[in-house]
Amino acid sequence: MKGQVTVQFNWIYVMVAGAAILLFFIMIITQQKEMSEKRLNYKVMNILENIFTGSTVAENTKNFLDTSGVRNEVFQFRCELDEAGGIYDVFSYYGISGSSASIESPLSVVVAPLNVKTNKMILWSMPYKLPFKVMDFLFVTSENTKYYVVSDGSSDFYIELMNSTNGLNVEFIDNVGEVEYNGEYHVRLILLESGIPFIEHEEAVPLELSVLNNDQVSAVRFHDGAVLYYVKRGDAWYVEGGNEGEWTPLVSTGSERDAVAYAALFAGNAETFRCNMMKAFKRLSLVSEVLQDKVDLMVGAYESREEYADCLSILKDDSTMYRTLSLAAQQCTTNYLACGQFTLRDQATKIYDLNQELSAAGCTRVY
Amino acid sequence: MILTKNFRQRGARVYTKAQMQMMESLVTMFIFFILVVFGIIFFFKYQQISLQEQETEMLAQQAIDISLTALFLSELYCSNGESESVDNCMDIQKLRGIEQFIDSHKQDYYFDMFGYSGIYVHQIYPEKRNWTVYEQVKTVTLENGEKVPADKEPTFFVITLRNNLGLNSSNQTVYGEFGYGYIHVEAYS
Repeated sequence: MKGQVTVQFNWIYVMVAGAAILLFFIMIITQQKEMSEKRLNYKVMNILENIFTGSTVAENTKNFLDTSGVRNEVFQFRCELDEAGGIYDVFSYYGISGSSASIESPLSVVVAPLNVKTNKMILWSMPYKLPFKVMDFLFVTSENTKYYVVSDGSSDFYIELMNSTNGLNVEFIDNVGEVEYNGEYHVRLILLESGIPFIEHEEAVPLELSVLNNDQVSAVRFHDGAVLYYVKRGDAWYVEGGNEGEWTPLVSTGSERDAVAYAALFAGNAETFRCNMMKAFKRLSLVSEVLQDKVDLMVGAYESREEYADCLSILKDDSTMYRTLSLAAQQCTTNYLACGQFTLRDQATKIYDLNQELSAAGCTRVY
Repeated sequence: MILTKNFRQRGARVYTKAQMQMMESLVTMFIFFILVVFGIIFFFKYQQISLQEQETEMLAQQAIDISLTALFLSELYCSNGESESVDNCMDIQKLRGIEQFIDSHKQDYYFDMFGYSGIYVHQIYPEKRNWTVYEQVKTVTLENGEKVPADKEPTFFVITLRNNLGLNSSNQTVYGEFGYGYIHVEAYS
């Protein structure tokens, strides 16, 4: 009897001790698994940051990034203005959704859909010029983000897009009814200039897209140098910002390969676009100041040299235009809609004309 | 119950045997846990060294990122009107006032861009000149209270330096639009 009890007790003792040891190891393994996942996420974001930096400086290039190793992760790109609508306290970052692995980007312009989940990321860098190069914009998209360019074919931008969007998942159509859904992660409609709007507020979305989640569909409409963003709610389109919505002006010289137009096309929503543009305005105010210093230096150098009298007279015509541009750009960093975009465009045109005049006279250009 | 001597001896042997068996189990478990602890210590030491290596790698990568940003800085690059800019080139006219300019905007802009780092441009030809584009040294406090610069990772790039106005540091006319030199970037850990 005593032996039976002893044998049973031994087994119970072994099982309890064994279970305790197993639990201990399971606890360590679980902890290590969580730490490994976190570490992997941080490593991925660091690598992505390095790739973004490299891609940004290689202007006018498209890079195709294999992200099949992280195909199940959702990358989010955010740029949120402060309460006053300025960038003083901007909240801008990109990172892996659901994790703390993220990179803050208060200065660089990274324009992308709000969420990207893909096997292949596409990075496209383009310089922003007004009229001199201010900085490089980095556009991020993916092979499973579908862009439908809707146009009657009369827009110059339409023809430009046909040539420039090689490698992107873009289709050119005449009307919204031709939109199809083939399993993409996100569908963006790009509605170019036309007499009659292709979609309107509270109008039904195409049947193919109505079954998708609201955040999987969006649209941007170009009209008269401004853009308007639409979101899907249920079966209908809604203008961002309510019934009439707020048109966001495009501040650019409107030349070919206009980085601002492309930024509007790729931006997730109106706020992201304005936020990134305001970062560009901040940079514009600084670069303009540097060029103003250069102008002052040139004026000082020419004043003591008679052979540069012609160059001096051209420069002195309006030797503070860079400072004017800098001040105008600074104003734009407080509130996009209060920004005097016509002042910026006018100043940019004057600066361009001055530079051309200097070049024609055989003088050193400012930029 | 009266226990006979034989019975007492047998009982004692049984008790001793049981005690020995229990001791055996305990010692086995003790040694097992010692081995597990050794394994854990070894693993964490390995992780620590691995983290240090990663930190060094990240510092090197950070240095490269800062160098790339500095090389293509819009405030300094050699523009070419509407054409593509000149690669790996800096405009001397822009360099002249850059240190003061960047210093005045360090807190609100350039610190976010360059962090704790130093960016220096050195001209070798046609004359030796130096410019400090940006400098924000990171210091660490030693045990004796002394403050010393933190570890840094230097990188160097050869660049051309364009002198549109043809003036040297003494404001004398020099010939040849381009000189050459190098950019020296130090990233602090």
